[in-house]
Amino acid sequence: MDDRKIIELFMARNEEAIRETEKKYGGLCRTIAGNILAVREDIEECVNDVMLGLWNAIPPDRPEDLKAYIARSVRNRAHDISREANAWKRGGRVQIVGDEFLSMLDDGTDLAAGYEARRAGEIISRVLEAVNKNDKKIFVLRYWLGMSIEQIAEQMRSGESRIKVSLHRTRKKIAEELRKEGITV
Amino acid sequence: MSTNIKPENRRLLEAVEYIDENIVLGVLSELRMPKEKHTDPVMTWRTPLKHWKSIAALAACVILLAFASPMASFISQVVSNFTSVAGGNAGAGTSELEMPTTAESEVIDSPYERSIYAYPEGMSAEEIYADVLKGGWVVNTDYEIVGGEKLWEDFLSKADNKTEASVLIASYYEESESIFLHSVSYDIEVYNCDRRYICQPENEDRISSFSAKYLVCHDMTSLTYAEKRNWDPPVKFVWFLTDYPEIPFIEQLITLDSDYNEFLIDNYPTWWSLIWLK
Repeated sequence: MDDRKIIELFMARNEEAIRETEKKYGGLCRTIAGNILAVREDIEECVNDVMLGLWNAIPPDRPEDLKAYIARSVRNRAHDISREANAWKRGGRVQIVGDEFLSMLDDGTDLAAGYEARRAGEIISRVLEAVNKNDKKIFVLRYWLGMSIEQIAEQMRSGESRIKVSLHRTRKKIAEELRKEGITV
Repeated sequence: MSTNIKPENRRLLEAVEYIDENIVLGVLSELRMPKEKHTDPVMTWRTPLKHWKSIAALAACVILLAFASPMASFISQVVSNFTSVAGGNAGAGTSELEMPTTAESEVIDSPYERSIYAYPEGMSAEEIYADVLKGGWVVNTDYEIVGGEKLWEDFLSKADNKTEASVLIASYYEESESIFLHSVSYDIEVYNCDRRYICQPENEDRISSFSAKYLVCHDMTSLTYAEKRNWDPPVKFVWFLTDYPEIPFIEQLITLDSDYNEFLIDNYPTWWSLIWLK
């Protein structure tokens, strides 16, 4: 079903909206949630929460891009569940992605909470705007969405080595920019 | 991988949360639907066990066929070929294509899933280059990893017989164009292609206009393309890697992960090893 029709169902408070959303985007939701959460029950809980969240948010929200809206919701909810369940200690892909990202900086990196993170976020955004479209996409899929190299390669219809090279280059550029801006490395 | 992340480093990860939303939304809007598959990492390993009866029956059939039919000699021949080449005696290349034909739609882009053959250790770069050029082997430089133009310049300058070929590089990355322009003067014919280039109809004219002696394949798809074109000589598939003395190059391939690419990029080689992949 077309996204516009699904949104119209939400606006009309027709429960068919949930069924159609689950049918169309259920797989995507589980994949995104599965990148962050390690346990099946948590993944299902996440997807269910997002479906409920959509029902509560639309209306008044009327997303222009339903897929992006859902993907972002799933990702954010999965991270919430992950934090709630203290998944950092239990493991999971988020930790692996984090370690990989952090490896570009020395262990001495120290960021003041909040402000430095926002500054760093702006710098990362600036770098991403400057790199080519594919490199930008690969970086976001890996570090924002938490996708595996294999999943990104499938998304990009590319080899895994290409993905790894792209990530390495982008990480290097970001590390350089962070250093220029005085973020301790 | 560490299991504990320092509180101050977690804040850096929080920086990712502050990436411009437009960037994120732009990427998310282009997401393709994933193939449906079992997503529970905990349950995944149990899935094959559910089908143990079928697996056992299949194994029994294979064993019966292997002993009871002429296929036995074929299988033993395949095994014999495999073990003799895997013994590492990959000196002068054979002219017979041993790669299995792969359906064009099946893409394998994971070198460490294939058998690996290596030059005997101790062979000099010059000896390897000479062997490559005389034996009809193809070279996949993956030059964007190892510092491309310098590598090709060095490789080509060592080539014994420059009249045998001229270089054409066609690849996904834009910087390959500079390598192409730089290398044509060496008159060595190596065609470097990955599946994204070789399988695009708009590149057909450019590809067919060159009578390359060697074909560089990044993956099975481009190799299959070469087979269908009846490329002469039969092509093989080679990774052209840096040599990192502390780590045997076979282990470099077997343990391919993100670290592999990082040390390749960060450690420009003084000489190179060639590894055959089959």
